Amino acid sequence: MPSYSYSDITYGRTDNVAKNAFRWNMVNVLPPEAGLKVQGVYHKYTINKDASSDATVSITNKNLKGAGNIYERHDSWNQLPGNTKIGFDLVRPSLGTSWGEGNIGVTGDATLSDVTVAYNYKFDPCFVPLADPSCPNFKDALYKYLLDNGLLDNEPDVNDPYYDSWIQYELDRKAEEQEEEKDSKEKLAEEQQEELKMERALSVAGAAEQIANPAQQLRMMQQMASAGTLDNYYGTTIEGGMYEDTITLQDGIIEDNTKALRNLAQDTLHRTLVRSQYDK
Amino acid sequence: MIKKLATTILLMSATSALAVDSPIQGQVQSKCSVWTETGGVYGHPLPYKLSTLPADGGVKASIRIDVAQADYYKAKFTHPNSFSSSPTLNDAVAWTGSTIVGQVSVAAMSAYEAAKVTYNNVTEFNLTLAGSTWFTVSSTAQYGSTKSLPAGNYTAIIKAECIAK
Repeated sequence: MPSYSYSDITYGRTDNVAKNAFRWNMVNVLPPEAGLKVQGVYHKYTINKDASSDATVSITNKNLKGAGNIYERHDSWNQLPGNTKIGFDLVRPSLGTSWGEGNIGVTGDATLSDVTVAYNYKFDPCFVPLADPSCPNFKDALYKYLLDNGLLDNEPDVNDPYYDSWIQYELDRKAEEQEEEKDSKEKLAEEQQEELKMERALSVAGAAEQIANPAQQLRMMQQMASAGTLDNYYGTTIEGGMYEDTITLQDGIIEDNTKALRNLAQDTLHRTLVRSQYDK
Repeated sequence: MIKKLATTILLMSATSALAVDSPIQGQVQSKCSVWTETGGVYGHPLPYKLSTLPADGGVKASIRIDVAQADYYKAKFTHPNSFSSSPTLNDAVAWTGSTIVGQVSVAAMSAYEAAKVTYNNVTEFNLTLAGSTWFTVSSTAQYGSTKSLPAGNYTAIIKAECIAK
């Protein structure tokens, strides 16, 4: 199954698998990571022989998923002097689980010494996303695991390998829900505040009536009194005694104020002109 | 009339611009490359001797030649016959050296050793196969008869070439 995560691919090379013997088991050689693929074989050996003799060096790996060998190399040293050979074969990347027992040997009149065989491999650490919580698809994989095992709404056994992950998953889920709820409340409050502002703006026309309302006035007075706003007025003492008139009418005639009458006439005209625009 | 004249001039001008020099470019990259894998080191087993042999405390030089195209190149190695830098020497230095096929990437390359040509301080190999070949170069310098070498740093140069046949 291909991996679609964005994690980095890890590359590596095994130790010398022929260090102790010319035959080796790949299970003991390759790392156990799932999805690991072998992509190259390195070899170095010294063949000891006469130039006049014939010999062939073979390196092979059995194919566990089919017949024959998954890898084989044969170096002919017929009529050649002995030497040290170094080589690296790129192979089409294939799953490490397909690579069976490995072997290096020589046929003919020759011996091998200083043999090194090593495998180059690569793997995606997130090939199984559940392997590491830092894997990009970890949450989806955990969700699927919980779903598949009926653990989505039931607490798994404490011995479950993903028990800790489940707890973290639940905490994250609750945190997300709380965050969403908080956002929703804030949004609702903002909308209500907006509506209130709009209502007030629209109610300016009726403000005078509101002020003239006796109940409203009483509330205003109560608010002012409760805040101690009128204390200064109530606390002021006016001295007693009689306040005599100081203005006297000399001849008993009060003349009309023509200036004021003219102003009143102009005001009426102005009001009529303005009004005429709406009364058409 | 004026219009016709103007058109004629334009046509003549266009005709002359059709003649251009059009270059063809290309790059040639060598299909043979030379790399020093291990630099040589002189050991000093005796007062008058410098040697790259491991037995003398030295390190032989290892030079790799990569050939991408078989049978188009030959390798030429010149082991030193003088120091490129050293303290002042007042006597002759006797030089010896050799170049051998060290390691191969193709079994048949081991045949290079038997087919090599040696003259003076030069060794040539015919690179008939594609792949990498490691050549091992050794060098020994002996001062005077058995005179002590002056103290100081000594450097000698190995010349390794990949030459088109």
